[in-house]
Amino acid sequence: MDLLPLIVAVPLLAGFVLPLVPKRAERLADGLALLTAAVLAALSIVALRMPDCIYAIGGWNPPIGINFVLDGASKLMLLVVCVITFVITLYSPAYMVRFTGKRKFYALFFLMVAGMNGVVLTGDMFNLFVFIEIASIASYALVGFGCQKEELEASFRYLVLGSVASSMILLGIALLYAKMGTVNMAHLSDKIAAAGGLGGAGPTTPEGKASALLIFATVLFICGLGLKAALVPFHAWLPDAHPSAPTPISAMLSGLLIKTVGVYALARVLFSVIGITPVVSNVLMILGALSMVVGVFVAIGQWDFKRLLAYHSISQMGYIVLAIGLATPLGVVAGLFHLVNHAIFKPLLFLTAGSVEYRTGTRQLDQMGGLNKKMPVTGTTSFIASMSIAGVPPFNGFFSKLLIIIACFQAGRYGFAIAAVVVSILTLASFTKVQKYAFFGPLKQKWGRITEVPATMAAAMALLAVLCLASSALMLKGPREFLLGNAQRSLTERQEYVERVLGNKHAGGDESLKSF
Amino acid sequence: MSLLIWPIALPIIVGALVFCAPRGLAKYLKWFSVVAAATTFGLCITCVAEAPPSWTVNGEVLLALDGLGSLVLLGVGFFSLLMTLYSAGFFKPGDISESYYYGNILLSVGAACGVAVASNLILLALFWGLLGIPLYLLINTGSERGNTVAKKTLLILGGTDSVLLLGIAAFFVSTGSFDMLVKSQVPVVSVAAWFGVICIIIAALAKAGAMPFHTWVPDASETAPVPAVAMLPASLDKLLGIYLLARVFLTMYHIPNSVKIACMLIGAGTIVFAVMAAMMQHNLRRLLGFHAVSQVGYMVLGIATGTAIGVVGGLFHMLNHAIYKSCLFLAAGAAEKRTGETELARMGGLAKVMPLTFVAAVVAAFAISGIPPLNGFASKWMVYNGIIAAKDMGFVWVIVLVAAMFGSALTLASFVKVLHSVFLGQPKEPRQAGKQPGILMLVPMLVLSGLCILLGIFAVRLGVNKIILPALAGIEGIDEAAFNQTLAGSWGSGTATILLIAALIVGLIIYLFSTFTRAREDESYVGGEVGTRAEMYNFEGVEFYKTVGEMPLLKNLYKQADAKWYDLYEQLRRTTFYITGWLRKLHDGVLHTYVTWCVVGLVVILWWLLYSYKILGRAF
Repeated sequence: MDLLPLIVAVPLLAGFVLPLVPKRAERLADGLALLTAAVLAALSIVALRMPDCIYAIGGWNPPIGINFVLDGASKLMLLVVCVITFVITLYSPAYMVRFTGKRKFYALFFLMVAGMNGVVLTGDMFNLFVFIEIASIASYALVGFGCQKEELEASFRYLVLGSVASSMILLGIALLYAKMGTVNMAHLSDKIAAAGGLGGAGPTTPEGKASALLIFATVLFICGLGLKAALVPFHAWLPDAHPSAPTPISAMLSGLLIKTVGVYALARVLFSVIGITPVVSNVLMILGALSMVVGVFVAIGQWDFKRLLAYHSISQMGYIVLAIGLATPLGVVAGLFHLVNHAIFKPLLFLTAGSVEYRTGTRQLDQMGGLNKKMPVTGTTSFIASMSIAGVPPFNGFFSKLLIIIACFQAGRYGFAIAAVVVSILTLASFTKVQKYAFFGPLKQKWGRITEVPATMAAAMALLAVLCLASSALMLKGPREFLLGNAQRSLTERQEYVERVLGNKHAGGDESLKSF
Repeated sequence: MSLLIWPIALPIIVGALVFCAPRGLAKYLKWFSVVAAATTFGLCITCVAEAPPSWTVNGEVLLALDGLGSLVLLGVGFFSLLMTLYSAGFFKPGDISESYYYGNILLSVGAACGVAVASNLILLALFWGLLGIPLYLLINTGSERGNTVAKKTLLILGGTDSVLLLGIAAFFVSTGSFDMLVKSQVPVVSVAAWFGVICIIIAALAKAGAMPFHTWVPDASETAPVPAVAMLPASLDKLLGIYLLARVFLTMYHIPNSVKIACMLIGAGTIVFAVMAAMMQHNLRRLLGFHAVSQVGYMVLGIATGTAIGVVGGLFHMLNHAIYKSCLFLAAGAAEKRTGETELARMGGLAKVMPLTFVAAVVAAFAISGIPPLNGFASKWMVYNGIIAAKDMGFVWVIVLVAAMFGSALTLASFVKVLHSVFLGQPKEPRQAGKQPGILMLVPMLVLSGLCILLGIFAVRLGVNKIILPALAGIEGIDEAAFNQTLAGSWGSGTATILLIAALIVGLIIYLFSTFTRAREDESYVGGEVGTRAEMYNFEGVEFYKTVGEMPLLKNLYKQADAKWYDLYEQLRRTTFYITGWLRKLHDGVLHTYVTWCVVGLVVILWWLLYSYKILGRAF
């Protein structure tokens, strides 16, 4: 239980210590960064084996103080964030050589990780906002890290739109606090449930105004967190921001950041705090389907490798939100499964794009060609990742898409199932294009002298490629129940969440504040 | 652990090893792979012979083997072995990367076995999709054209694979289980059941290469290495596609007549249009590829009739087609290796230099054209009977029957062209002596052509009674009695064979006699000038068929086909890029626009929620 604050504190500490390493000892900084990431990965695995628990910061018990909550969903997210962070950290030292200020990069990098871990663990609305801001502000800076014209422009756009989202989220929290008098998530949840929540399709509370306020807050959360999750029509910052960042950061942003501060936070707020209703569920599904379709159609026309990947992130986030939005047990499991898978293959795709750029200096697909002959590791891993995202068996994407389609069918949402299939075909089209232009075919003359990337970068990519295959095992009943099933229950069983934090005596009543 | 897992696991494991094999071992890999393929075939036989218990995990049956599965499993093992053998003789060291080629071949063998023994639909879809990857990699061997075709192939197969997932989900919703060997016979009344039927049929048709999902077959035939073509699109993919189609029709769903009629029309259309396209081809491999599409029509047609004899004929045709079409591709490969050509116009006169290949090719070409007493005739005859027996479906049967017979005639016409251009006629130019097909290449060809004859002469006694009917054991309404009852105007293959042999003997005698009166050969004179021999005797088979393309009605059809009007893939591609262009225009890169989107999104969602919760109505 006492481990929980460490998961946030370790990267925070690393973020402040790493810039202090003298410039001559950059190798030391690399080592320390890798060590931090390894410790984090180990911590997340240890956390996986711990029972569900809460940690009250400063000994102030909820609902007074801030508390961290460790349950199925946060365990899953911690595992994903920390393990993928470790692999990306392994890739970074060799790649970041061409940028100056590697130590500053590490500082921002670990600040972002601290923010994400905080978002995953926290049980307090305002604290959630703070961690979202930590992660976001670090990412604004990282997107502009190269300080080129386009990078700064993308960073600025990201900053503006990100701030729009942040103000929406903050306003939502303020409204909830004004009405309910608390910012503790479990406590809020309890009070909202007692007040009738969003209710069914009709006025359930005596005062219509209160209900309208709650609805407004809900919409603010959907839009604000939806913007962080890059759902259409709130997605426009992503295709500029993700390709402009240095590759490890592109991988972090697309693979982890939009999931933690976007989807996870959205799911937490909607499922655990406000309570999901059929109307909200519909909104989520339509946002998801819209992102899925728009993302893939734009992606297929791109020639910039990383930009193409960025649009696919939008599309894949659509899958996740669609599945979670179904709000059925199978739907949530399928969504979380796809979330895990996307956190594996999308960073891998960005890393391979980065490796190609590292050697050839270009991101334009039509400039490449036949690179398999010179960069076999990059080519093979990129092929595996492409097949994964396109849902070709036996790789992980196949299974999660299958589950999503089955979940849609089970809920009687045939239209969404068809959309999922069409998008899957277009995704395949888009990635066969990548493979065709970049890696297969005759080798272009000008690339005759390039070689494979350094060993650490290749190792990071190979590791993720193995994970692409290994995470298919989550389809098997045992692992699925252990990781995804528990995560799903911790999201959809709202009452359990309240009881876990507040204890049994608080459940189902409005007594908690009066007792103080 | 059941025995059933081994025909899948062995080739996949060995294939993975071959992939990783160091370069020093390259020259041993072909023998290693032949041994692996032979062992796999042995395992397939063992599985079928011993009928091992199904493999069950947590109460869910994952792998199981029934009659139909056994047939396909044996077919997969058999053809894989022959093609691996041929490959070992076909490639010289340095032609290809051995580890890449044989690794992919073995991977496809394992995946194909997996489809045959999978009982769980998810597992089936897994192997089904997995089969696309080695095919993609085999087509993609470095050339620009191969690269394009590989992309198209993977896209069609992978795309329909996604459609299969939709079908599986629908089947699960209808039955509550993923087990497809249970005879669920779901009545097609609900939306989910309709989804299931249509989606699974689409996947099956695409894998088998029926229209309108056929365009990858001729392209792949033209570009992939010949043994790989003979193995994947020509035999294994057909077996598996038709296998799934048969499952849908026979066990999984209770198919309504409308679907049967639709499938019959698809089958008939495939036969006619593909064979018409085949006639106009001037590339040998592409021509064979179009025939591989056309023949699928008969199988689809037979199974879609739903009558005992039609289904038996369709499945028998599936087997026969795999035999003669792979034989034809192998012969084409031998000819290509000898001449270095795939253009019909530049081949010719090969019968003299490669007689055994010629014999194999003639037998297979006659078989595919449906000339008695070869196997292609027997199964086509059954399909015709099946169509006639399906009279209760209205006038469709007449159209379909005419189309099927017309297609058969065109097939013959088309193969006359092939035989003439490749093997007969005069050699075009003094060519550098390529290699004669070695024993490793001849054996598979001769075995396959021998089977064409064997399964033709003993079509009913061996083919139907010993192979096809046992595979259909347990399917209601399809047994020996029903088969014999509907086999109208049964033709005695024995009598016909005797007559044919008699005719051959007579022909031989006439030939021998004619050699006594040797014709005088002399220079020919045209208008007092000596005509050069090459000009006089060089008739390309290709020219004659061009006149077909000039016929008034067909002219436009062929022109539009050239412009890819009928290529579903191309049409969808154009539509997609139209939408893409429009969406890209919306992303204009102006920050104000993007912020506006956010605000509009917020307002719309807010309005929607307020409206749904009836607050909006009250406020105003």
